[in-house]
Amino acid sequence: MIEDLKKLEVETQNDLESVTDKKTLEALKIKILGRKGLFASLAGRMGEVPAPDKPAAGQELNRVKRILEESFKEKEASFSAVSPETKSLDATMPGTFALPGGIHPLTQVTLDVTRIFERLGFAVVDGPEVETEYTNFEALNIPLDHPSRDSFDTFYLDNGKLLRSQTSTVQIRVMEKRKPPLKIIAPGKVYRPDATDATHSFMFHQIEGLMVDEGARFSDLKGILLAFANEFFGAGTKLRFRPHFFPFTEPSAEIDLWSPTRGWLEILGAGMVHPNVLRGVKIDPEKFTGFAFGMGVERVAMLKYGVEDIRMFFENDIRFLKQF
Amino acid sequence: MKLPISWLKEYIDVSVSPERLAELLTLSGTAVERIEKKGGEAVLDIEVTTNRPDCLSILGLAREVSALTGERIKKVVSSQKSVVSEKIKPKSLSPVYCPPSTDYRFTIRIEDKKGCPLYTARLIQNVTIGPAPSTVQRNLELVGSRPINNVVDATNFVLFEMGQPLHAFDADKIEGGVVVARSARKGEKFLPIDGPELTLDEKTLVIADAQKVIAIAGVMGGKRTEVTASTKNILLESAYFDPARVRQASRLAKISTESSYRFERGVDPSQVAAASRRAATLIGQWAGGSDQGMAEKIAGSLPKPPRVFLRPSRLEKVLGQAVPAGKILKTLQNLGFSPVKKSADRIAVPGRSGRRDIRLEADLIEEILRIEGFDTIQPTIPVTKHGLENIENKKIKQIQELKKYLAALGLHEIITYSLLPGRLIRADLPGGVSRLRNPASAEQEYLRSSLLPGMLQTIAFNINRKADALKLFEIGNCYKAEKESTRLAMALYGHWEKNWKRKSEASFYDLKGVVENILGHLKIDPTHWPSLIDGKLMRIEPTVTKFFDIPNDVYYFEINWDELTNDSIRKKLSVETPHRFPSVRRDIAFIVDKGKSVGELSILIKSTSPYLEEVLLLDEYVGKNIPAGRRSLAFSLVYQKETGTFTDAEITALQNKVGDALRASYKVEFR
Repeated sequence: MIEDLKKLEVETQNDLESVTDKKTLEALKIKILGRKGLFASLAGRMGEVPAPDKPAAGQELNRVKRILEESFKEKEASFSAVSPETKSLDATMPGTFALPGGIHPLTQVTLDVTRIFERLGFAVVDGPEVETEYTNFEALNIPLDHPSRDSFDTFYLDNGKLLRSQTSTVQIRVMEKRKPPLKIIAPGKVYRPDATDATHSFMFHQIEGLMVDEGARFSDLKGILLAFANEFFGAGTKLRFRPHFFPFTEPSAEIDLWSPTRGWLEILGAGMVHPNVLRGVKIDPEKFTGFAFGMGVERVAMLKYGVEDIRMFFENDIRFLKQF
Repeated sequence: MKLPISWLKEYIDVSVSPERLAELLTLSGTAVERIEKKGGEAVLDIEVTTNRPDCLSILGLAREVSALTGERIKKVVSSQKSVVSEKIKPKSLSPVYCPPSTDYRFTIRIEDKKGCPLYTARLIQNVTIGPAPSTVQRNLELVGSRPINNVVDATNFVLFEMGQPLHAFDADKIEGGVVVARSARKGEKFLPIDGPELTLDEKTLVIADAQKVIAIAGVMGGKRTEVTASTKNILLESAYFDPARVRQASRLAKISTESSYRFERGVDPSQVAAASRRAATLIGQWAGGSDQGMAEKIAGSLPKPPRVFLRPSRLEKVLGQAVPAGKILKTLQNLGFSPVKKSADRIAVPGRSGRRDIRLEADLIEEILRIEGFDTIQPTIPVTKHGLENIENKKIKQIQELKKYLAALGLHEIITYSLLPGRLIRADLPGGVSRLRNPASAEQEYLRSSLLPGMLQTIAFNINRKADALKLFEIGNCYKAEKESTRLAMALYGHWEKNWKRKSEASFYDLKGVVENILGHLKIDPTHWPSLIDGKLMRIEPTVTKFFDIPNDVYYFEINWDELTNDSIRKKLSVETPHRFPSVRRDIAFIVDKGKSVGELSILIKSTSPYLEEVLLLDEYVGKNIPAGRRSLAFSLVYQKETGTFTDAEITALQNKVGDALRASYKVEFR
């Protein structure tokens, strides 16, 4: 008896869910709560219940009745709130509010990346794209007439200034003005006279991070980048740190990301800030240590979204942009 | 740099697989880009960073392998004895090189002591030019060098084996018995072994005889003194050239060779004589002839890497993990250094001439770390300490917020190139004023001063792909009059709204609405709006849209971002209690000359009464029943009093004042 009541309750609730018009609701109500309805027939079986179980069965009978009545009442109310006019509308016609536009995928990636570093205590800063030879090279310990400049071929303006070839210039600008502790993250455009193809562009975006403090360690650099990768690329992301050479860091590392389908993919350059760089901005390298890291936004975006040609980011085909 | 495993094995035992070796090298800083199989031979293709020229040779890489695996390097090279002793060391002032029992007299003259601090020449007589042994040819092919003949191949073999570039001249073609290291003379001609004749100038360091240039120092020898099939006697050059000079010469001549590549990065001066000796031995074996000994001239100072001290405590401080001093000493020894433990926390490491990149303690710390393995360092998260000063850049935050807001308003962000092609530079189009000194292509000639050309290009690009409605914005830096500024641009093209209920073409006023919307969003005091909008909001001239093949109107707004973020134009937020008494709204419609702007009319209307809370344009009508040159305007006026409600009479009086003012000033005609 009690089981049957429970079953009726559940089935009726389910049926009510799928009712979409008043007529069906009316029919259902008669079927369940009508004088000859299912509930009435169950109530009629009360006599069959053994005496000791009667109080419990009676309680359950009342409870189910109350619930079913409430449910029907609620459903009826929901129908009467809809004006007759609404019911005559074709609700499948499209809405007429303008669809949103969107932010560029490179901006999206930049926001995602900087947000993670902000949570780790880094402040977002920027710097100019037109830079001096000093900030772009000398201050970063890149000597003139050295092969290490080859990877930093640069556009020059007639006034002797240049278009920065890396966002590391922002490090210099910040450190010249402020004293440690420093934790900054600097996104921006950089320029290199590369021939343009599917993976190279003469203009691209970088995000540069820097921490300088008493006791900033290489292990901290590893921890910060691991935390970033796990949040950005997903938990369990595997990174590989490889020694590399950058004039402005020592030790220097390149960091690869493990892809099950493509193997190790290089995504970051990093290292401990070179003592010469710190000295150049009048920070005592004996007292303070620091680390810096940088990544290419396009590269990360291509990896994350499966974009195969870097030029798509700058063509701004609206059909491409709308997908982000 | 290509490393054939079989060649490597001549100097060191390798028990691990090529794949494992590649991994070991990669994880210690000499990144193996791929493993090539050449006729069953494994060849590692290694990316050597610019700071490690010592790894540009098989022996150099063998030293890396030794440090990584603990295997000893076999003594192949140093056990080779020279055919004759090297006792001919000319006096430095008059270095005349007269090998015994020959007719040769060579004077080595170094005019550019900085460019060429060290030069050696060796005479080898009566060689027989022919092919080098096939195993040698094979090795050279594996490292990507074309076999030429036994003498040239010997020099190339030593270049790859030891990292020291050499050059063999045909001794009989050197005129006047002199070998001079000097700057080229302006206009001096030189025909290299490969490539067209060059015209040199004093920036290029050359080797010359009494007459002419016989080589661009460290880059390439000349055709005239080239070793040919008929060559009998050889003058073998081994030298140290200044990296910057070689780099400069290589760039000017647009010739990059295995030799210049190594000189630019810095060869090991201590190997100059040894390499000459090694090559002489090989030439003796492969081409016969008799080695008449070597003359050496040291003219300038050679780079001497300093002694560096390493504190294990500092290493721990920088890395976040300690490495025992004993292990540090062992690693340094395996890398060819001779470290001396001076005290518990001080290890003296004398400079090694092959490792000029080691100049600071940090460099040694990296050496230890890369051999230990970067993976041995356990990651930590640093404690964040903040100064009192707020370092965060407000501008970046505001831009980020505005981008999201504009997207919500229906606009798409675009990012266009900051460099513009010359064909987009037009008098009627703001854009490029700063030309690059070294544009890489005609597509990247000018640094933009406006976002407009990029915007129009994007619109045209999308129209070509059948887009019929575009709402775009870009925020990016521009450069004008030596000043860089961040600018915001917005453009509308085609439909503003297009759905089954409403269709409208984008208009000037739609874009103005967007601008007003963002000014409101940025909490800019409305009294500043006109100055922020006027002149910056426009319909693009049809001549310009036509140039871009854009068939319809483009509405465009561009502003210097700094104008929007100036704090002085921001609304001071002070809350007013909403009025207690209800306001009264009255509409007013009249016909007025088209020349009178809604702006000036609104100001006039508002000036008639302090109770006028709001003056809002309701409608504009031009056409039937309206005389030409005039238009009908309807305004809604909202009156509000602090102290109570208005009576009808009061309102009528106020409305009459508005009417009188309009009639008096603008000759309006009420409807």
